[in-house]
Amino acid sequence: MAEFNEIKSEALKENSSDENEKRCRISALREQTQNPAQKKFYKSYEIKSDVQEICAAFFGENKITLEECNQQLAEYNVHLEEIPYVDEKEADKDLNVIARAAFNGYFKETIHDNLSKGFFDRRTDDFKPEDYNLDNCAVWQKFKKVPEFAQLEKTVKQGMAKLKISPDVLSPSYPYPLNANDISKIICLQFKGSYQKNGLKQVCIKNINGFEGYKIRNTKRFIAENEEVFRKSMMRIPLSGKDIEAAKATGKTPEQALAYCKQVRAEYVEALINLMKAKGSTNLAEAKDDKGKTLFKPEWSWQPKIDVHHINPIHNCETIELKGKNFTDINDYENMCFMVKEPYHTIMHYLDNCECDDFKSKIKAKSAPDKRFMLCPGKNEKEKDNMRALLYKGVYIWQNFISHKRKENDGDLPHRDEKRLQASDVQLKELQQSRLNQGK
Amino acid sequence: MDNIINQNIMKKIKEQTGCNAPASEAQIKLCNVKLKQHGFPELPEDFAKVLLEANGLTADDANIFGVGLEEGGWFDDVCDYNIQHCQAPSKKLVLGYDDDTHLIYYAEEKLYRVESEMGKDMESDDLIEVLEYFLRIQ
Repeated sequence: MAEFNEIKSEALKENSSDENEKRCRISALREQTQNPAQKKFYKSYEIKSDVQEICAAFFGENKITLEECNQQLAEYNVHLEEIPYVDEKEADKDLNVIARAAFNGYFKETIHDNLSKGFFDRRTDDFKPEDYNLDNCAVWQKFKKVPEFAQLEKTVKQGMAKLKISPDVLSPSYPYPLNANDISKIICLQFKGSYQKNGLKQVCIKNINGFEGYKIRNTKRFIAENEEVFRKSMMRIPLSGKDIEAAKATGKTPEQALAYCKQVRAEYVEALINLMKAKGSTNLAEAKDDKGKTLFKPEWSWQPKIDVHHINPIHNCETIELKGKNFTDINDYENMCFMVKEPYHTIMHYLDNCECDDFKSKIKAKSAPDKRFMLCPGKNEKEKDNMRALLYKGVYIWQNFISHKRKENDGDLPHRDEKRLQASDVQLKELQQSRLNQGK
Repeated sequence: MDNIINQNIMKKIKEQTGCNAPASEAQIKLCNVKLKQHGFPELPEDFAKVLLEANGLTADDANIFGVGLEEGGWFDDVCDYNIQHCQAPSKKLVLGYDDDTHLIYYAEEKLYRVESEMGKDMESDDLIEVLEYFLRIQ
């Protein structure tokens, strides 16, 4: 820890515009680390703020490799890996729409701006579903890769006939091919049901063909396979100071307050596990019993929330296609890990998409290869400090990895590895061409 | 404040989401003062009305902010979020977020938009319609 405080401190000295204040903060940080009596568990905003400072401060030389980094991170169940870089502007938006629908279990109806001209190519003639040959529709070929969506082919054809969309839009030579938002809209319009208003809607796919979405499916699998580990990990997360103070305010001694808070944590964790098993959800705040009564208790207000994290990012499905996989694998159990929302999920995204413009993701943090749950903060002060060190270390190593790449490419480089990027671009174009060919 | 919220739809929203206890008028006023001080528009009146029903809503990953809330709880505070994440002065106010989208109020146009980095998903001047969409009310 001292090493990282020092590194951080040095970096801040070099880059800070308000050195004194920052030095004081770093010095205070070091004191807390060195003096057990003053140690505390850092709040998410404090960590975020520090990470932002470090991100802004570190433009340093490469000192540590990714391999060395992962050796050190292994004990925390954390692993950083390089993923192919795809410029988000170049990413296939259709894949994102389809993958998100499959993950969330909802089709989303969006405004006209997102729809193709083909969607509005309507005729006055009556059409039958069989007049539409979706084999010619490139975007439908992508939808079909999700097995539960392939079942909706008849629905899409019926919807197109109902809307009197010209069958010509499915011709490979048609200039305005349908996109994923068009298909989502067609399905939504078929299933809006008793919705009386003209407003847009997100339609639950479970109500169409029973498909719950990969988020729910993977959450159920995770808890089925890891219940005991999850329970123990959750119990190890430090209790909130707010909970302890609230308990003390009711007249409890510090020991009684601690015991009470542990009991509240245990109740919360059991309720969470039951919810994950039954509904595949981790949001206890929205959970209701059979009579519609909320299950959430006020004393759970400061309990840790659990998030599901995509290792390869869902907004950029090509990153997984470039690894030779199908884009739908983005929602596979293997591409997900579960973690406490604050600060870990937030920090993980700082690692891969830092707010500083110069740092762009090529490194993703995930749980260790054989683990599906990101380590929770430690059960004792040493482990808590280790966790903080990890957060700093992860950012530090990641930044240096980027710097190292920059140096390899003659220093004066944009924020990413251009050679690798060019290679990825070629692969990406080949991929897109192959998709087009498949569509035809 | 006038009763401008459709109570039937609000009831449906409350049934299908997790909702915090109602906010008080004082919390809303205080929030508006704070927002103004930091260069953000005040809360739109219909949103304030929703807060008097539920000081924060959540459904799956979607969250609608509340007012006067402490950081780290299950519901986020509209002032804290905007002050921490958005540039000021601003003519827009973030009122909630989902996995990849935000619910944003554009004060000049008096419009609510659900948008992500990829673009707009929907927009309307009817908050309840936007909430139904954003919170995936069926």
